Amino acid sequence: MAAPLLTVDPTSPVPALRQITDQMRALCVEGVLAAGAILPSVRRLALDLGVHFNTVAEAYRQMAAEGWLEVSRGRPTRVLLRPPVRNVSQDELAAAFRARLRYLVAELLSAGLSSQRLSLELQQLQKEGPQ
Amino acid sequence: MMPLMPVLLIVIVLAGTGALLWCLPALMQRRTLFGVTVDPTFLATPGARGMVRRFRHRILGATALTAALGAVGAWTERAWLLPAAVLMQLAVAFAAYRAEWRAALVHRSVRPVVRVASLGERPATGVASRLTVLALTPLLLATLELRRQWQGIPDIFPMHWDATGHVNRWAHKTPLEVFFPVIMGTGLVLFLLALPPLIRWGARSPATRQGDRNWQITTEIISLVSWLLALVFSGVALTPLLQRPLPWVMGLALLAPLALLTMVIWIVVRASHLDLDDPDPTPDDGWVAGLIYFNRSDPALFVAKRAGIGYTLNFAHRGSWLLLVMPLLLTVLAAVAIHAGH
Repeated sequence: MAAPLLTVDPTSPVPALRQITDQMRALCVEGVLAAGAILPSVRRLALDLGVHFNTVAEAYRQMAAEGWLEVSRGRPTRVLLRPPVRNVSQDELAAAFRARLRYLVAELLSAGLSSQRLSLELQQLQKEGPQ
Repeated sequence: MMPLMPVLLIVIVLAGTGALLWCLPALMQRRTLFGVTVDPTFLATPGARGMVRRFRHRILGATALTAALGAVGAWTERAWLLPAAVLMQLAVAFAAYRAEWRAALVHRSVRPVVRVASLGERPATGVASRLTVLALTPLLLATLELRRQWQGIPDIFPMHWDATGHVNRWAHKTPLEVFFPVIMGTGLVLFLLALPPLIRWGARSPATRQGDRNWQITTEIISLVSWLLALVFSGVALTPLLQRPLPWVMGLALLAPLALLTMVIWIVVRASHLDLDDPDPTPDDGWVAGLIYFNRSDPALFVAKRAGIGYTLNFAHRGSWLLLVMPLLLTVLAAVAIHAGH
């Protein structure tokens, strides 16, 4: 199986840190990054993506804070078996989801995407996503 | 007797450099013209072809002129004309390149610089580095032979000959002077041996097939050069035993520029069958005249070249200056050591 890939577009309005964490989280949730997998060092990933070392270090820290990664000094970064259950209610999570989705939908509609197409894409994502 | 050998040598060197420069537009990444990103469709237009033709005409003219100048210099024994001819050829080539680079800027297009990184393990290094390690064998054999026949080495022995075959430098039987060619050769081969891991450490991992090919070709060239140097220095190291240069060393020294030329042609032929487009995407703004990479926001020490095959330094990285100064420092130290020995 081919190794999972990360991409960074420096011309994108989305900051590099956000691009990295979003992709890594998606890979973890979809199971593409298997539990126990060893990730490249901060230096190597920063070099390959052409971003500052601190950006990748911060991305690893954020992912570790979310419970997806095990980061410790002197040892390689590993993907954890499963994220620990966080003490956040379903209602709070749903509210956060709605808020983010609202901004995203507004951004895409203002960019010219039709509401029918948007609805189709959401349905497609639900089919493809983790069950 | 006419000094035919020096004339031949300078003409070979200038013709070889000229051929290499002539090949330069063919070695550009597919989407670049003289180091500038252009629309791929523009490359097939008469305008783009005319720029390449004009550059090559200037290279041919400069090569013919400087070869004639060098030959006159060698013939009339005006030594200063030889480096002047080489420098003139390079200066004209740079001016011709710069003129076409400026012309290409008008047709510049935006290149998407989306970088891809693999989260998997890095592929293992190829066999080329192992071949470079083996290049130390002839140097080791020369060392053993010098030690075995130490008693047979005279107190003073010829060390350097001019192009007409006369000795112009003598050396004393001291460990430093006897083993100097071996030490120098070993130092150079070790430097070349350290280059692939250093490039691998300081460059982006090849994420594409093109990047892989660029890496493979680079390591092959490094292996070839290390073997060439090892053979020349091993042969030179044996001169204290023979009192005269080995014919095959002389032959190799003469053939080296030709070998280099053949190697470049071979690379061009191989590269023409590959899509060497974007082995490592870099922004246009990071390049000075499409030749020198200076990008502070890029953490890479080495990046894939836009003109030619291989890697170049990111001069905005402090490590690049350290890399440039180190060989210079070692050369100065070697010169000081020999001077102190006298």
